[in-house]
Amino acid sequence: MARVAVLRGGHSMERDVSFLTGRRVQHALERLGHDVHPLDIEESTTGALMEISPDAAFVCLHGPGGEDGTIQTLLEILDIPYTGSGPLSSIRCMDKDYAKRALRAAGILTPPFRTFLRRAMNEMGASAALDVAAEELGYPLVVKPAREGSSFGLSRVEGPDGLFDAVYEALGYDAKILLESWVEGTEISIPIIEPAGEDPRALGLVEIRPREGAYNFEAKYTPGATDFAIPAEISSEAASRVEETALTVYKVLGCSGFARVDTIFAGGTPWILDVKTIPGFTETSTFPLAAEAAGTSFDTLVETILDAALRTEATAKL
Amino acid sequence: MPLVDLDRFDFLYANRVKGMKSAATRDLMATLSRPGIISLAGGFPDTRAFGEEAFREISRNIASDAAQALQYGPTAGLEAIKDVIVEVMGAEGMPARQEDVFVTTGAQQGLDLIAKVFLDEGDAVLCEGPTYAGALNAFAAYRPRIAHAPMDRAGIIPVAARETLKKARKGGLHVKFLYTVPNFQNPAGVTMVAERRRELLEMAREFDLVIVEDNPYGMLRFEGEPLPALAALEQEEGDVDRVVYLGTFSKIFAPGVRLGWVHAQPGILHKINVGKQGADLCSSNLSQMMVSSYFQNADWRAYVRRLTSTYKERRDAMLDSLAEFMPREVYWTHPEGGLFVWATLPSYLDATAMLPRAIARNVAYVPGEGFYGGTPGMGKNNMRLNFSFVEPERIRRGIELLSEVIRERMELRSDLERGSHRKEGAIHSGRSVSFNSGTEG
Repeated sequence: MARVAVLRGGHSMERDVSFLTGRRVQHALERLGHDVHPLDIEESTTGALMEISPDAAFVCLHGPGGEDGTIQTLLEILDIPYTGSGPLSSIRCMDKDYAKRALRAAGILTPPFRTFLRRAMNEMGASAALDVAAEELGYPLVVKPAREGSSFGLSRVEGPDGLFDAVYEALGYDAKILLESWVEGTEISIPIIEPAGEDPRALGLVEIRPREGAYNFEAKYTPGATDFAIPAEISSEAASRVEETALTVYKVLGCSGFARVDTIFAGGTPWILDVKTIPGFTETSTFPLAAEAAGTSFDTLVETILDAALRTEATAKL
Repeated sequence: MPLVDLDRFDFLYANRVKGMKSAATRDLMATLSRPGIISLAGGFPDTRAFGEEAFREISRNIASDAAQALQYGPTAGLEAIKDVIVEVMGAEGMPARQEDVFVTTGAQQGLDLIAKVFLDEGDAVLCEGPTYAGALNAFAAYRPRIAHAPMDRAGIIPVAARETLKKARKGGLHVKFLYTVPNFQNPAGVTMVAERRRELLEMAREFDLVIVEDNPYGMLRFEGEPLPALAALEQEEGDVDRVVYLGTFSKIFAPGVRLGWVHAQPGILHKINVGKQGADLCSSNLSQMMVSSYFQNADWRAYVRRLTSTYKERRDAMLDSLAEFMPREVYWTHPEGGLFVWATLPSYLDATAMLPRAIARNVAYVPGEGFYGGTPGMGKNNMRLNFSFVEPERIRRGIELLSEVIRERMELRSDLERGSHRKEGAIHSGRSVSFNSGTEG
């Protein structure tokens, strides 16, 4: 039995999802017989962590503050082992600009993109370069905040007319945004787990089929709004190629414990869109669904992730 | 087929709920549990003002009638509470007879029952634009078409209402009733002037439709003279006829008792009675007895005066801080009572899209879109701000935070426009909503 602090809530847009993830993890840990201490993120959090002095923190926070290295660096200072990736890996994955640059340098396919910063708009008149960037990428394209999960502020732009409004919308969520080429294909997520002392492995391939339009925030968290095919309906050769790529992505970005790699499968190849170091664990989340389909119950999944965190002799997280 | 179906009863749901979605922003608002958030979003009266002792007193008073309080009651409500309702309506200057009063589980149930009684699929309802979102929700289950007639600072614009009715008639639409919140309207905060009330009544006669007059806030007046209810105007000239009046204890007592009422002519009440039997048999006896005990034994008018003075102080705090902090381009209404201020942002700003940013900064409001049931895009640049539930100092801080969020969005817009080859004004928005009841910023 371990004393575990479950961190959930936080201040990001995904606060409510974090509560759902946190509650589910909390119940699993209780069933597993651990001494569980749920904590929200507020001014007293550090004090509470020092007082509880847990054997490990199970981080169920999504988005900025919880998934970007902020809580991870704090937990390192407090010498509390924690689930999932380290600070550098976290910020790399949270910031799609960093992630895509690292992947591109490692020779991994990711849709072409251009990055714009609010500061450059303000101080350098960077919006004059928007059309140039868009023309190079070609339409349709996607405009999205660099550091926001759950599709907030994301729009697909069909032509020059919609660009300005999409950029304006995305900059409402983050001071850094991406213009990214639209890749038409099948959306496939690859949940990856790295049990203590073992190599990371894929838990299967999840194909996402939204019933109408894009897989946005609402579709992600409304039961019945999305269908998932597990495993994804692609050939076994293609599937192993996708798995292999996803595992390379996991390593290149320096992830630990677990992560979810989101791709578009097009022309026989996976294009990497995004990596979530703390994917949702709600009833409708792909990660636990895939685990169950692969024969791993939710409780076992939670125990495996916690176990990896508790093995303090493991190599330091990135 | 290895499909994982997350909602396995999807194929069984009725069509009317299939299309019902809860917006992402709604979900964000659903849990305003964020530490330190200043919510200007709710429509909550301040029940903290009531007090523990008064509550105990009521409970003691009705304890001797415990058996009745715990029993089912008549569908139309207990006699005692109907007497109280007649008294409350009298205090608002409305002649009412006990037999025309029908007790409901909140005025919200009244809205549902009225829709149930009058609306077939495809029938139309004429509402103010914007209108109370809860009414739209109640109507939605019966799948009507919603038409809006715009308002200005004097309430619904009769010429526009008439045009809409004519157009509807021409288009073969059957408008069954006109829904209005004449006093301190939710969400706009405006009050319909007396002449327009008469005009509306005249129009209803001409087009032979019912008026549903929803008056939850009438007694919460901070300034100016009370205006006659449409139901009262109708009775000046004869019997209760086409005005169906909705009242509630939610704002003058407490929403927790879930008690409201319908005042209407016997034919309509008969249909409503049938509808209510199917819905919940009767409203809670316990609630009705608590309310009637309080209204019979305590000085309820003094309590309403106390609430009103609290809300006035908070409204003043809101109007003052709006004037102090908001950018010049933002304007808002000046309610003489009630719970809400309606703010209008520059037309290119999308209040729905801005909400997550505001919440991240610890302030919440209700975006304007939800108060329009017809055309998408209406109310996009509007927000409803509630002042009844938050203390003046926090209202001030909330408005300051909100102004910062708006200002940032405006500055970003101008930075973007400055750099891009587009010139100001060239950006199409098509989201402008004319609503000229503003006070200057």
